[in-house]
Amino acid sequence: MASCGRSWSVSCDIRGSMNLRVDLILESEQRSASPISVKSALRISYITIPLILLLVFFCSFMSNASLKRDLSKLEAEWAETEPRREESLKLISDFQVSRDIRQELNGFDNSSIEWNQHLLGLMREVPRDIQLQKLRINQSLQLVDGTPARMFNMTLNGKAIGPNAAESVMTLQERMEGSESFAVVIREAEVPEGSFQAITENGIVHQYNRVFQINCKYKLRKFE
Amino acid sequence: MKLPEDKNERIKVLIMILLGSLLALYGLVIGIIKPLISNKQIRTAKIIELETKLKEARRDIDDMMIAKDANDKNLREILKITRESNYLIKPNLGNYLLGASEIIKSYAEKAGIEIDVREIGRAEIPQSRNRKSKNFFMTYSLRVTLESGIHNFIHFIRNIEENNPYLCISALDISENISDPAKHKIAFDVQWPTWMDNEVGEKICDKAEARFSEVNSKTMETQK
Repeated sequence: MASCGRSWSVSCDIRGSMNLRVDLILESEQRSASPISVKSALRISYITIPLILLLVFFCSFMSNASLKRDLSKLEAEWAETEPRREESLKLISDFQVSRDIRQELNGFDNSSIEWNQHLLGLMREVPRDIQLQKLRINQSLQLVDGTPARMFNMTLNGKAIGPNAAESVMTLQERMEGSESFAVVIREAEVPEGSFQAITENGIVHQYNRVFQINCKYKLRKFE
Repeated sequence: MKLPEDKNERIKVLIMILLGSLLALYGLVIGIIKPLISNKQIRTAKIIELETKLKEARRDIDDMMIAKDANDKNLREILKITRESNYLIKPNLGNYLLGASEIIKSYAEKAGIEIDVREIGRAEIPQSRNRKSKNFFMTYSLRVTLESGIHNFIHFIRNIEENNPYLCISALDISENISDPAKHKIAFDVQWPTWMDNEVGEKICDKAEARFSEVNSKTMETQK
């Protein structure tokens, strides 16, 4: 039975004693023993959760808006920069072409030998008792370490006259390899086996006079 | 709003509120948060992409400043070699021999030497492996035969070589002349660079000339 929301109850046990219990506090007036009641936590959460959510949305909106601003700023900068970049790429590609052309032309210059200087040097270096009869220079174009190069070879045929023929030919060979003007361009000079021979005229073998051949290999002249 | 007094009713209402909240949360996630996040991701990705592109573009533009001067220098040099100095052999109605033999004959005349000229023709240089672009030049060769004293001959080829650093005497044969010991029998090959594709070469030179005339007229305008 309840009146005014308050309740009371009567109970009787077998020993005949009677207990009377009266609840003076309404259920709604009851308070929890916990420091934070569920209700107040709920009430607080009614406000805080939407507030937190709002704050999160606001921050997200703001960061998105800021990103949008940054993006549009960058897009504007890109719109301004892109034509300049295209121009620069074109110019860089033009530069690569002009650089390649120049390198190739320099290659022609660097790979050649000034033969007029070389022949003058040769005339200076030939000992007096040697008479050159034939000179042959040829060139082949090769790839060396991936770079085109000119390779020159020279063959000299001549006569050495007098008792010092062998020494003179050796001197010439040494000069071709070691003298200042030739060492820069010549890699090796050799008298091929069997090419140094006595001169035979009308079946008579000369006592001293000899014919000889010197083969010179030049240093590679790269197109670079 | 008050919750119903009845516990079952209250639970029902609470469940309804929970479901409603979950639904609202779902709606928020799908309708606002997800688009916000995806927008943010798209914008961030775009910003990163643009920043990278801008960084590259700025580097290219900086390179352009360096490349511009170097390119101008190269182009001036190319124009000098190909147009002003005529170091390259160019075809006259497809004929290379006319121009080349004219040059050699003029030097021969100066040296007082009579020569015979025969065309060897054009040949490609092996392609460098270190370069991406194809060769711009190939060689054009002539064979010159003559009889001359060695000093006169050296004078003759000195004139040829000193007046064009890009040509090369690629083969030389000097042998004795039994009928006239003062005059040797000489044959040599002269090798010039020539555009692989003459039209491409002319286009590059025309473009360079147009560019410099434009720059010159701008400079004149600013001086006025």
